[in-house]
Amino acid sequence: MRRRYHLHLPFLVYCGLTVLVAVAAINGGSNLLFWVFGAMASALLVSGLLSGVMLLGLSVRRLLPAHGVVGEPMSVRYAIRNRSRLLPAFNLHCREHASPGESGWQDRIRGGLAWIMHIGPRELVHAEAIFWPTARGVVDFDDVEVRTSFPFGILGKSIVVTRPHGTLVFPPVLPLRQRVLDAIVPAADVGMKITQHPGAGDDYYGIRELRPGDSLRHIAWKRTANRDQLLCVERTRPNPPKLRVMLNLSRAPAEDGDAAAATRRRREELAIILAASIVEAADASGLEVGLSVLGLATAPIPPRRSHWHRNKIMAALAEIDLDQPRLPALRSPAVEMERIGVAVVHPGRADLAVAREDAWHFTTTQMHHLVDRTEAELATLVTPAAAAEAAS
Amino acid sequence: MKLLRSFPVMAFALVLLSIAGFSAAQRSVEMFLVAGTLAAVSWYVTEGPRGRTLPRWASTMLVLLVTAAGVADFAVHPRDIPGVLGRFSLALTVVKLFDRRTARDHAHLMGLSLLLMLVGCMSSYDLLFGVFVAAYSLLGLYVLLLFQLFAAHERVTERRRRRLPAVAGTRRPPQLAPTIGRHVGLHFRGLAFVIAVVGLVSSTLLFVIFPRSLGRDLGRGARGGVTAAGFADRIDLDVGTRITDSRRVAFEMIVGDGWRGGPLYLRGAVLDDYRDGRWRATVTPAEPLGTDGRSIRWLARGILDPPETVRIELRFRTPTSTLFSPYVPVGVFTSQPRSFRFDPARQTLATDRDDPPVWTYAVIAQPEPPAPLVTALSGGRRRPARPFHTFDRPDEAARVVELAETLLTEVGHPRPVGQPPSPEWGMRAAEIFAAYLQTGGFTYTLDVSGVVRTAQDPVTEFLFNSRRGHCEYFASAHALLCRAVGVDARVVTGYIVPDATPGASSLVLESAAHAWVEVPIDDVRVATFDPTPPDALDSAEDPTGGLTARLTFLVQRLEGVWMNRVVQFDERSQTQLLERLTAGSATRMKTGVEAARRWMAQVNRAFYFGPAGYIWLGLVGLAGLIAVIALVRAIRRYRALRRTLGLRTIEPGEPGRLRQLGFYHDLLVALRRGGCTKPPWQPPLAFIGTLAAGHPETAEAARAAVELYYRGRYAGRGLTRAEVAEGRRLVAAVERGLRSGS
Repeated sequence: MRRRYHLHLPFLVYCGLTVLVAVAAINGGSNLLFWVFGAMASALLVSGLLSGVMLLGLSVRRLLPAHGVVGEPMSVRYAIRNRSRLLPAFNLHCREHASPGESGWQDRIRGGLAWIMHIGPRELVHAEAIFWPTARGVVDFDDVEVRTSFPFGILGKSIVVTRPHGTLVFPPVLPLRQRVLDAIVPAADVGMKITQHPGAGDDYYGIRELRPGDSLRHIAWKRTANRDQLLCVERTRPNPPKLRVMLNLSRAPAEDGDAAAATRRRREELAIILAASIVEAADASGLEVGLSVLGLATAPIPPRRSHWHRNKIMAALAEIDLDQPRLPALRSPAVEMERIGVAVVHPGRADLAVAREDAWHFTTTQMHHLVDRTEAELATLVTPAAAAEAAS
Repeated sequence: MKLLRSFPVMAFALVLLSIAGFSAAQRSVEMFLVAGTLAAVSWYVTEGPRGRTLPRWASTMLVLLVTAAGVADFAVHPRDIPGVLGRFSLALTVVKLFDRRTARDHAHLMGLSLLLMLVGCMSSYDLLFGVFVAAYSLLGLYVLLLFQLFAAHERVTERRRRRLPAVAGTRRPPQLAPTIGRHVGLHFRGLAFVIAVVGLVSSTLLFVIFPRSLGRDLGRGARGGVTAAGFADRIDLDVGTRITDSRRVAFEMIVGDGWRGGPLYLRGAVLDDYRDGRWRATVTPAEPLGTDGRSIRWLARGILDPPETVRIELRFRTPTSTLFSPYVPVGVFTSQPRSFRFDPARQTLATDRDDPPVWTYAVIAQPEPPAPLVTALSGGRRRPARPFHTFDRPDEAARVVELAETLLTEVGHPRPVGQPPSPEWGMRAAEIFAAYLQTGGFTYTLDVSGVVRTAQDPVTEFLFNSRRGHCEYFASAHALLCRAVGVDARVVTGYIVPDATPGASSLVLESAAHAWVEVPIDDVRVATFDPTPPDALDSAEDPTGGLTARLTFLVQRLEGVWMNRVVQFDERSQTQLLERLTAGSATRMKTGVEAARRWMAQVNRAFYFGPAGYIWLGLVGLAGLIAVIALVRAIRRYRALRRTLGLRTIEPGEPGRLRQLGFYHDLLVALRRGGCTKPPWQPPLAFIGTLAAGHPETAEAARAAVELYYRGRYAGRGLTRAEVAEGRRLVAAVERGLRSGS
């Protein structure tokens, strides 16, 4: 825990005023002014002591959310405990401490501020700070600063507590135009139907012996009554349409030269956003979605449909490190054999060879036709500086 | 939230209080009525059902107007800087009250209210204003604390609003609700109370110990405005001040039985030289006298207990170098030998310059002295017929002469032509002038700060224009009217006791300080004339009877305490307080040592220890001290162990385990001293893992100690004696390792 005092403008003004009152008291010989001077000086003393004692009794813990999304508020909570037996704490400002000159979480997120008006002695309160993620990726927080200038606002004092902790910021999800998804949803030999496989659906599939792990609710009581062993009902597995989103990052930015590298990097970010938007829209429409990232050493994610699976894909997109060495895009036989719709997202020109013939290919240059966003709004999503400017 | 919602009301009350306080300081009911009414209207306008505020441009225009008015006010009253500043602040406050009420505006209003009270402090010593200052301090503290919360809430809300991205369709965060614990109001008021007490104690301490002599050599030009009533051996009418009635007790007086009743004038200084609005005493050689502390020292040779004298004993609260006495003193008595100087021309007494001032003395006086007695006192010298100075400007002198002669002519007592006025004629003229000043439409007031100063002499200003003033103005005007017609009058300053009772003791306050006039009866004697309206003279005795009188007396006592303890607290008061404290603590220490010695002697006698008993007692005392220290250390270690091991309750078998696991606490202390503090949230072994990166060898020993700790803490069995010893050995190894940096 590091402690420090902050001498800001009100402190200097107050000190100047106190000196003026002292001079007026000495020159005028007015005892009331002497008393006022005494009160002002003691206020300075009380301010320094009280804020220091108040902060020394605090302990802070950060409660991060599982993830944030670029452009959406991310609520970070701080659990603050006042260990003091007698002294309450007032007017505490809790924020992430950023060392000057260091590039860390500030590159990906704009800092929030949690305000705690009061903590009683021996109490624990939770305060909320709203952060605004500006870029996807891993956000590593390090130090938490708790600051107060109570009781008089003259002298600020802060403590900095080291609490290393990280979270993921997912890429932004843009509303995809409906016809785009309609076009890429496979409509031929795959679709919403019941397969002849047991699963977690609603329709009846058959009867079998009860096995450890089966729910008691699935016991077929009538059949069980006729036999000596417990039987349970087996349901069919639903088989919704499937979609594999392929993100083609096989071409490294440096290959185009330094000048074009930045543009290429922006396009790749847009491609990631487009992929995330397709995944989100497909998931919302009831499709099973999978993801393959071409050009990077990442394992493909098979198509599934659940909340956790969706987050898994988003996390995979968030964790993509564009500085990694790129590999040539290889067509996987297993993926080729899948009875599944395929949407390939390219940052630049479309390379039709990376997927099978019936795949849909999208590029970032078409992006404003695919999502409900203008080009300017899209630019703010991939450039934190532009985003900050737009926010201000 | 209830706390935050109460802030605007409290802040408004604070501003209203400062307006009332400043009006009280200025003693202006009109100011309070106007400003207070406008402030009340502002509350209805801004916080009422409509909730309207002045637009910015309108408030800016009004502020400019107020500033212009302030400049004009300063041009009219260039010497009344506090008054000008206060009126300007008051007008600005009223304008700001109609303005918007953001946190910044509230801060402005609070700053202005503080300025009003500071200006009030510079211009008033009244008890009423003191009450306002006390109330303002308490309320101001509460409002200031509340303001911190209010402003922070507003700032954080605004910051959260501003951080919202401007992109359409962005999900908005929820509204900010203050994070508060339980009993916030109780805690807030409790903390405010504690701060108030600490602030009061520390500010009082600073007030008491702040050296008052620092400003002695600084310019006194800025001083003035307000002075407290009290005796002065000179008069300066050219400084327009307001005199605050001082309820400080000057001295206690016992008048002997020889007193026939009536007002008692105790003469301090006789001022006979008037120039430029100032009265001074002409320097004349004074004769040195000495008292032996046993008998009365008669002031002239040949005087030995003259008839019809009165003995007056005075006990001063602060020592004095001027010896006050009725006209005419004939003898002095002090309990200790002292050296005096007696001015035979004026019959005044003062201590010798090299001698310390006196606290108590008795003076023998003869109120109606025969001429030979006064001649003896004056050493046989008659009053010289000398020219006396009146006014520098001839036109002013002519106006006063014209007035004096008009007054005399009106009552049929014209000035004799071609011959000097006789003493009898002079006495009659002095009577006429005194009657004119008492009944001629002049107003007695202690506040002459409002009188506009011009190039005129202050006495002519008083006589012909303002017609307002206190006893010094009345006495000066009377003396100068007498001088205008050739009567050698002089001003005397001292104390007046309007109704001194023979044989009774009475307290004389500083506010009984007075100025009057002496006019010659013959070549050696003088008669006393008091031109001040009699209604203005206060009684120095305790009021008796009736609830009103008792309440008045109570308020006067309060005022006395206020003046004594606060307003007139000076370097001398500091010295007295220090002496009292020093004497008190020395006495207490001496008493304590004596009591301890007696107790030891009793114990020694009771156990028949003999001469070596004191050594035994000393050893027992030392052992007791060591036992207490050991007990304190044991309790502290017990508490630290409980804290470290996270044991809130101790089971019957736990104290033994606490002792066993003490090595783990020692390990953490050693690591902390070595700069490796274990975070409370980190498990011990995980912490040792992080330690291994910087101190691999030390981490090995620490890991073994922690594993031993785990065994003792969580394995459900205690540690053996050997294991505990091993734990201590490991801690010692960790300490060695940290010292060597491995």
